[in-house]
Amino acid sequence: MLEILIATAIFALVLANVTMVSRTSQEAYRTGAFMGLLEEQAEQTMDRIEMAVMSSEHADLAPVAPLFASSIDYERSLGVEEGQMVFDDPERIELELGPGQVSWLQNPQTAAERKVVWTRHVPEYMQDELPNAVDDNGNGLVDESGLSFDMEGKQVSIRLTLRREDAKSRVYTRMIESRVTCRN
Amino acid sequence: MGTKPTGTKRAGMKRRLGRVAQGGRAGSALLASLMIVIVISGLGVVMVQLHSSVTKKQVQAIDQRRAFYVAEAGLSEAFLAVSQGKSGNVGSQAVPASFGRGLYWVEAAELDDGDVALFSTGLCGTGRFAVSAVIRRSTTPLASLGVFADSEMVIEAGVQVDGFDSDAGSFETQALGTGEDSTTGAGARLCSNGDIVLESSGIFPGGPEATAVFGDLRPGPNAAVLMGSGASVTGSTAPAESVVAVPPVSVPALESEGELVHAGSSPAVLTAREVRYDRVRVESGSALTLEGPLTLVVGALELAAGAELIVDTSTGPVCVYCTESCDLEEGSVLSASGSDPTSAALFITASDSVDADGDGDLEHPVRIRATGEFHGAIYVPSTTLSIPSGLRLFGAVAADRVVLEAGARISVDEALAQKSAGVSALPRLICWRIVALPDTPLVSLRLDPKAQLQLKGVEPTESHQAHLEDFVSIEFFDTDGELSSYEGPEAAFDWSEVGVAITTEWSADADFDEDGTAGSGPCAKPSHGGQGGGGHAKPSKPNHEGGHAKPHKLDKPHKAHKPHKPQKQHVKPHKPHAQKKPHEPKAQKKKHHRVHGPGHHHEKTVSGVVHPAWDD
Repeated sequence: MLEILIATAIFALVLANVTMVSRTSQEAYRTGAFMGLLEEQAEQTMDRIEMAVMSSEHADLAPVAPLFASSIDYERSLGVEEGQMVFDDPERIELELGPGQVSWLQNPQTAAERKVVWTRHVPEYMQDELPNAVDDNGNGLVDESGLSFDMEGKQVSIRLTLRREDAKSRVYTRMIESRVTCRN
Repeated sequence: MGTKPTGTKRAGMKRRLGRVAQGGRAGSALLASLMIVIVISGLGVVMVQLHSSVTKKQVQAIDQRRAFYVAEAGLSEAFLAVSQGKSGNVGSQAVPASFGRGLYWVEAAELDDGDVALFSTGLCGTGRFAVSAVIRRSTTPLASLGVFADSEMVIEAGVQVDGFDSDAGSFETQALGTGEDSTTGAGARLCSNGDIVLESSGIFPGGPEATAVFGDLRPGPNAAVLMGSGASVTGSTAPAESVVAVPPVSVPALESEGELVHAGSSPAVLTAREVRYDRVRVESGSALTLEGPLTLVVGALELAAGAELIVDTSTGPVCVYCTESCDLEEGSVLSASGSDPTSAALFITASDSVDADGDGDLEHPVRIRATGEFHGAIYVPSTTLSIPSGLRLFGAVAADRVVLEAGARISVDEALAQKSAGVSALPRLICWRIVALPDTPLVSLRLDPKAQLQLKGVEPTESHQAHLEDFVSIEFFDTDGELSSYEGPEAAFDWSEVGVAITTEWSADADFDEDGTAGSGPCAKPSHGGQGGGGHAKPSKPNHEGGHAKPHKLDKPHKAHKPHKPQKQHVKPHKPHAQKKPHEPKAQKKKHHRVHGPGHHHEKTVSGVVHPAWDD
């Protein structure tokens, strides 16, 4: 009887530990997978933005740090014809604050406008940034939004923050930034 | 009635029951442990699988980015190839070039206006990327040098050279004062790869008949300005830092329409857009107008005394190519209706002495004795050009040897710096874009491309050795100053031997076809090899058959002239001639000066001719 009790106790202990390990592992995995997913989403979006901006001529973007813009207008090059560069229809990448999404538009504000949502879960303000007219995160911009552009010559700096909650309402944030040069 | 077991029997029964009980429980813990291990292992495997899929995605993203960089590297390599005068094709789909962990190939296509379109495909791991760029071969205009002489420049007494800018207005609006002797007082640019000699006028400097250069004189790197008394230079006389390569002229290939001899008293007008004659002669008392737009190729251009040749650029540019001789006799008139020097150009490729008048004596192929005005550029790369005093020149002059005869007046046009024939410079990026991937098995199968090629037994070529044109014909001064040459595979050539490259030609095989090169500007059309003498290869098709220069018969290497001693100053008093030799230009051996890439403008270790006066 005593042996059974001891064995049962040990078994229960082992089982409990195994269960704890399992749960912890699952939790860690979920967190890692969620972060990975968020990172992948951010990188994919950033890649798209970079490729679009690189193919354009000097993008129409006025602000210089500490000012910024949440949208960028540009025209992609389609090649050269008779010695002159040919451009595609006007395009725009912008942050829609309401739904918190980054959208790509072709022929914006026209009857032929096309729109594709590249990513959601973009917060109103950049990671570590607060709406207090101060450069909280030390990147040279003041109160920048979740998607921000600023220019220096022909170089465009792009910053993107994604923020999501998992099933347990835990918030995950991922910020990615890049700098590209308009090649045309 | 049964009997109760005895004590012994009870103990035995108990032992047996215990053993059975023990035997029944035996292995149950193992079973449980096994089940737990299996469950945990299963969980572990699942987690590993899930984790590896996430890792795979990240690796793919990294490979994609790497493929982009590899494609960009391909564009850079092709850009370098084009700047060297090659086609821009690097590697191929069958045998790509290797760069880091990836592979790439670049296909080049020549566009109608001389631009080159490059398509680069990069592969790295599972990543694939294709980018395209259009680059434009560009030239540094030769006319930006003003008056240029490859070997030597002689400025005789009483010559005045100044400068103006035709884009800003006519010369008269920029001159200080009025009259035939008015000058702008500045803007002259005279350059030479050798010495520049200003002869003494015996008149106080600044006088109306004094030799005056209102601007800069720039002799060659190891040369000097030799200035006689009475001559003045208002600008710099510092030597140039490097030798300027003089590109040959690409004469348009046109069918000849025979000879054109105009002898009538009524003026004739040549209005054809492109025409070639073996001989064009204007007899005394006749006038021939060359009305633009016009490209005239002529073997022998002759103006008799009393004849007039009018260059009319008011309706378009006029380009004249003389391939055998140019004889504008004394008393003939050269005039222009149209004062835009950027619209007229005279290219004289003649170099061998000819018996123009049929007297059995060979004369210099270029004899310009006409009077009048010429607004444009004169380019004589192979022989001596003498500008007479009676010919007022607005524009630019470039020749193998330049003699400004006594009393000549030249005004260098600044505007020609942008719009005339020139030497090749680095190409410019016109357009960059991302393009669709080509449909090839190597691209479609998202496997490691190096492994795929290894299975086929294909070895990728190193990036710097993957250019399509890998045969080079080069003439150069080696590091000891000796003239040398090489023709063969580039891989077998030691570039460290090159001190100064003179001409460089590329080919995809050992058979070099001749393909002249042309300058840019209103008159020169891009040859197959591109503008400005920079290219000698045909980039239109990746698998083009190579060969773009004639088998270049290279002279035996000979000793070059010794460089001047460094004690020589830039400007020295020039001893007068004991005898004044008539400056009859001598026929000179034709030099095959091919333009070389922009990276090859280097100091010549050979100076110009040592002036006879210094032998005293």
